[in-house]
Amino acid sequence: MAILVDGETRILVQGITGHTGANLAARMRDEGSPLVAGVSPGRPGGRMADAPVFASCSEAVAVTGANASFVCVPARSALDAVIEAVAAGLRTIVVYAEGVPVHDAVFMSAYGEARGARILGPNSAGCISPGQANLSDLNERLLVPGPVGIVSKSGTLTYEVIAELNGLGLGQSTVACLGGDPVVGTSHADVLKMFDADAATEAVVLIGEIGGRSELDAAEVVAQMRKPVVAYIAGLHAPAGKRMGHAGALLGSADENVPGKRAALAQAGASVVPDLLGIAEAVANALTPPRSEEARRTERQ
Amino acid sequence: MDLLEHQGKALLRRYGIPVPDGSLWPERPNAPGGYVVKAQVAAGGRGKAGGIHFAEDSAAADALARGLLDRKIGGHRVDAILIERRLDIRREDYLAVALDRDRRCLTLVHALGGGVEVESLPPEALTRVPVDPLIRLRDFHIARVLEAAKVEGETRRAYGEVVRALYRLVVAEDATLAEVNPLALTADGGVIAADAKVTLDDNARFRRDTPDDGDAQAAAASTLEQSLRATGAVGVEVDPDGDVVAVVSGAGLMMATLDLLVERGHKVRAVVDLGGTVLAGGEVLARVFAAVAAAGPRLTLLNAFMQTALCDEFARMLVQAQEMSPLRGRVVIRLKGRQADEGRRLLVERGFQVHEDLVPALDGLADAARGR
Repeated sequence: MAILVDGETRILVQGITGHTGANLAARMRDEGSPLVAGVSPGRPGGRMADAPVFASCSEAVAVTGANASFVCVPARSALDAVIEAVAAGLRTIVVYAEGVPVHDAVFMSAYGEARGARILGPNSAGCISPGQANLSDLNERLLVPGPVGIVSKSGTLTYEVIAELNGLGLGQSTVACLGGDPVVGTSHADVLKMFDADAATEAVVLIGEIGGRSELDAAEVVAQMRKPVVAYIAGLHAPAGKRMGHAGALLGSADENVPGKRAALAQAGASVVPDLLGIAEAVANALTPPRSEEARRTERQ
Repeated sequence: MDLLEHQGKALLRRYGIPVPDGSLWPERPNAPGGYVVKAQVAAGGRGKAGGIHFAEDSAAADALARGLLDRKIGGHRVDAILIERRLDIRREDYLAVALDRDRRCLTLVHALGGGVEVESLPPEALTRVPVDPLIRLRDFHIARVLEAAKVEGETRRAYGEVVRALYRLVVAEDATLAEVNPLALTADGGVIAADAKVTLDDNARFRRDTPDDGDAQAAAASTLEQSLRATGAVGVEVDPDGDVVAVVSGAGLMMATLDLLVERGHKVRAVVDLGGTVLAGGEVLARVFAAVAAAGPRLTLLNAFMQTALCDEFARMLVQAQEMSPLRGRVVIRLKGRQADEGRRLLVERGFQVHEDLVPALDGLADAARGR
């Protein structure tokens, strides 16, 4: 098993005839990811990356049984595309575009939630369960199947963590990128609950950043979790009043900065690492079963 | 984009919210009861900083305005002054429609006793009414604000209309905040927006007919930030005395790289998120380099870990950019990801110091900082 995407996932790419959509679809095909359809309202018919291209999501769903969508359309078209995907019954939807108006993000999140769809983004790199399905812009070759779940806002920061984990022989169950915008459809807390219930995940890496309360809400979930959580929060030295590349990464109230989030997560029982490079080692430690009192006594003798 | 008070009030007026008679100095409204003279700067605490004054007559108002012009209030130079008719205020409230990013909705925010910074009010003094975007604003939402405001009769009706209009403005103009602080209840029963702070969503520019002039945030950006923005990259000025610039292949990694550098004792001048420019070709990257070089850093760290763009293509862009507009000082490159072996080979050939992993790159930068 895994979360968000797994062996049952059938992928649809909205905007498949665009430059980015075409590239991602070709990569999904090359990786053997379950791409079943494309949608292009302006250019239906024909095939892209071996997948049939439809005029609408509902048609694509009816013909191919697609249940997950990678929305690869320009920011100003994202709202309509996501509403169409939700209305067509797609269950997991990644919104890739950066620069989506925030009111559009608010509406798509509310509509998706009401209809039982899971939306990642806007400005999300997507989600991937290696060996099962890749609904992301991450290169599957970077990942190794294994027991570690990763939830992060950023895509580029997960590359670093994945590479470090691989170096210690620790593979990944699912990597979920939430998106760097102020309003996104899925929060850290939502994904933590899924990881805790997932049989394939034994430990979770939470990567957060300054701004917003997603990591603070996550701390409340961490306190209830059975699985170990290793947390890193980026932006300790971000200057006040500046957006740090992500529209949502802006210092807000005091508890939304790095010390505030670190403290909340540590108090909830997460292993909080101060620096990106310490994450993999902390996961390895968390996964090593603690030695029993008896074993330690034997060792001392 | 943060609007100045007079721009915000013009918007409020368009949506039917009463605002005091006023105009930009040297024009003046007719005000037998006296004037308020207000510096138009996008800074909080304007009153305390000496940006708001009262005048009995037009001569005094003119004198105050002349005194404010070109002064600095809260770090911003005053180049516009709003002159308004003074109100006979009986009570001041706080009213806002604000985006709640974590609850993913707009929220009505109300407090009795406005005029102070809302952050300074205890949380229990605030009434927050979240509005589900699927049902939009309904009478029951407004009723909760009106109960908190304890208003009756004609004032209640007028107050409710202000709440309704403010919400309509936020939705129609793609605002993330419309704050009226204070909302004035006047002696003659009026409900009037005595101040206005409106923030518009830059991402929604394409569907707004309001012209985008006087963007206070853009004006506050540094030269480095402005010249980088023109290339499509994002620059963040960190420490004007710093001597290291880090150019990074993504926003999250940029923040983490800044943290690593500062923790290792470097003084960082600025960090740059290349974003989509990693795919934009050597000429665009050369413009990024020109902007970075103009800041004159002693050391530049290029940290790229790429899975979408190809590292060898990026290396070729980098070589071209360095020919067109060289980075000066010591340059340390970290290049990892798709086809990175070939990319690193190309860069080593050109004499760059290149590493695959972050730790050796950081060590290399530390050596360079010590002059080794």
